[in-house]
Formats: sequence, C-alpha cells, structure tokens
Amino acid sequence: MDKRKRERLEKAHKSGVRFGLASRRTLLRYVFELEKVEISKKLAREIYIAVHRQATDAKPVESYKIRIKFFSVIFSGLLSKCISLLDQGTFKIDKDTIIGTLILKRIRRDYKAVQCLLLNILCSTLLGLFTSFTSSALGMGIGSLLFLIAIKASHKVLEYRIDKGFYGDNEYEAREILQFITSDGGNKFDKGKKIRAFQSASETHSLNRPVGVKA
Amino acid sequence: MDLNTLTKYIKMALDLLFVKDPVATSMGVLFGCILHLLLAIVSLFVSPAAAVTEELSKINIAYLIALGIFILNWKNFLHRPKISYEAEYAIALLKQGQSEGLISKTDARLQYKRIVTDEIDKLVDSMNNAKE
Repeated sequence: MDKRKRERLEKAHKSGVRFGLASRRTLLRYVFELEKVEISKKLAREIYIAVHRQATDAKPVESYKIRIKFFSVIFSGLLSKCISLLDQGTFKIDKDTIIGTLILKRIRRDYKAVQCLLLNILCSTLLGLFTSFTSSALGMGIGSLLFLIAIKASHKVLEYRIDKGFYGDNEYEAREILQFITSDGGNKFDKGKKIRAFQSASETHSLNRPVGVKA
Repeated sequence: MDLNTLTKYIKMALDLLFVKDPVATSMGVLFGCILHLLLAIVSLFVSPAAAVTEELSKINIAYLIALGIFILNWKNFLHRPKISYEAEYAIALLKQGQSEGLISKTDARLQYKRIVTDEIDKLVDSMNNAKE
C-alpha cells in the first residue's frame, strides 16, 4: 500500500464519528487491499464491524438503527416527491377562491392516505414475495390499490366539477361544503381580503360576487 | 344523463363507499390486513388455543378489512359536523319548493350555491368583527 493511501486511512481513523456510509465503505476497501487475501462474506462482515467500532467507538447495533431510520426517511421523502410530481401543475382548481382553497387543503390532507396505501402495496409485495402469507398479501395489495384508485378518481371528479362550475349546486355538495366550513372554522380564509366563493364558470357568473359584498 | 348528473353520482358513490375520510379508510384497510396476519401468526405459535385461532385465521380478509374500515370510520359517523340552523331551514324550503314544482331544477342549483355563499359571507363577517 502506498504512502498516500496509508495517510488517508489514518486520517479516516482519526475523523471518528463524522464518517459517512461511503467513507466507511472506502475504509473497508483499504483494509481488504492491505490484507491482500481472499475474504469470505462472514469475515468481511466481522472486519467491517471491527473497523466500524474502531472508527466510531460505537456499537454496531446503533449504526443499524441509524441506517433503518435513514432509509425510512429517504423512502418517505421519495414517496412524497413521487406524489407531488404526479399532481404537479395538473389541478385546474383556482386557489384564489374560497372553495378552491378548502378543496386543495383537503386534497393535500388526502396525501397522507395515499402514502399509507403506497406503503400497504409495498408491504404486500414484500410479504407475498418473502413469506407464505400469499392470500393476505394479495388481499392487502388489491384492497390498497382499489382505494388508491378511488382516491385519485375522487380528486379528478371533484376537480372536473369545480372547473366546470358544477360543484356545490346540489344538496349533498352544499351540505359537504357547509360541514367543511363548520368543522374547520374560518381559519382557512385570508382575513380582510374580499375573494370569490366559487370558481368562475359560464353557469355561475351570477353568483361569482366577492364574499363580504351583499348582492 | 348529462355530465353534471353523472359526475355528481360518481362523486357521491366514491364518497359514500370509499373516501369520505380517506385517512381513516386507508388505515382501516391496513388494520384489517394486520389483524389477518396476526391471527395467522397466533394460530401458528399458540398451541393451547390452536383450534380456535385456526378457525379465526380462516376468516376471509375482506371481512377483516371491512371491520377495520368500520371501526376507524365510526368516530366520524358519530361526530358529524352540524350546519347552521338557517342553512338547514333554507335547504328544507328549497327541497319543498322543488318537490311542489315551484322551483325549477336550474333555479335550485343556483340557490344551493347562494346558500353556501351566504354562509361564507356570514363567517367572513364574523371573522372581521372579531378582528376589530
């Protein structure tokens, strides 16, 4: 091993806890080069743990916990990113109307459900592949997929109705909006600003007056 | 059937059957699946009660998912937010007028929107008054 590599290795040993995963891997590679021997997987794992202990002075179990946490954070972040990319710029709902604001908040709240269902599908796939609970996994996967489709379909139908000015023109939807307003209170509205209640559409012009201005 | 009516019924069906509260419903699905797995695991490891648990593990997963959804949506069913008395009265009058043929379908649609707009007006007014 040349002098430069040895210096880097020593420097890596000294830096201790600040090691990232990549530097640990590099360190392990240097150790392998140093020994110049054929190493089995078990031995490699033992060396890795030994080197890791030397470098960080911590128990390897803790490092596994950190790794699990790291991957769960990365995974949830990826899910959120995928969902936001799927819906980016596709909504036709006007954010400047009160109904638009309320509905968009509701749709964003539904992302929690979408995340949960995507996790369900992933878990069911893993269960189906690696365990004998095939029927459970299949049921879980199909159920989650159906609900995921239902949520997306519901959002699309809602978006279409708001865009065309149909939303809120029947008893069911009027009650839905009123219940939504009652349950959430007025904290969703921009105080003091006169904004429209419904989105502009050819059928709703007569009612698209600013809120706070009596007809 | 025009698109307005069609989408109205699709939305109602999706809301009633699946996603009135999607978080509770999706958690219910997960709950049902976990319950199914737990029953299967218990039936494998608990020998004294094996006969009972084996029977339990044979329950169809769809029933357990339905149970999960029912349990988690029960709270929403009990605590449905109530709308104001004025809005309730206006809706009742509108329905009565429609059934007696005094109000046309198009007029009723506009009036429903009017009720919502008026309620939001009231809320914004009360907020502004509270601010002052």
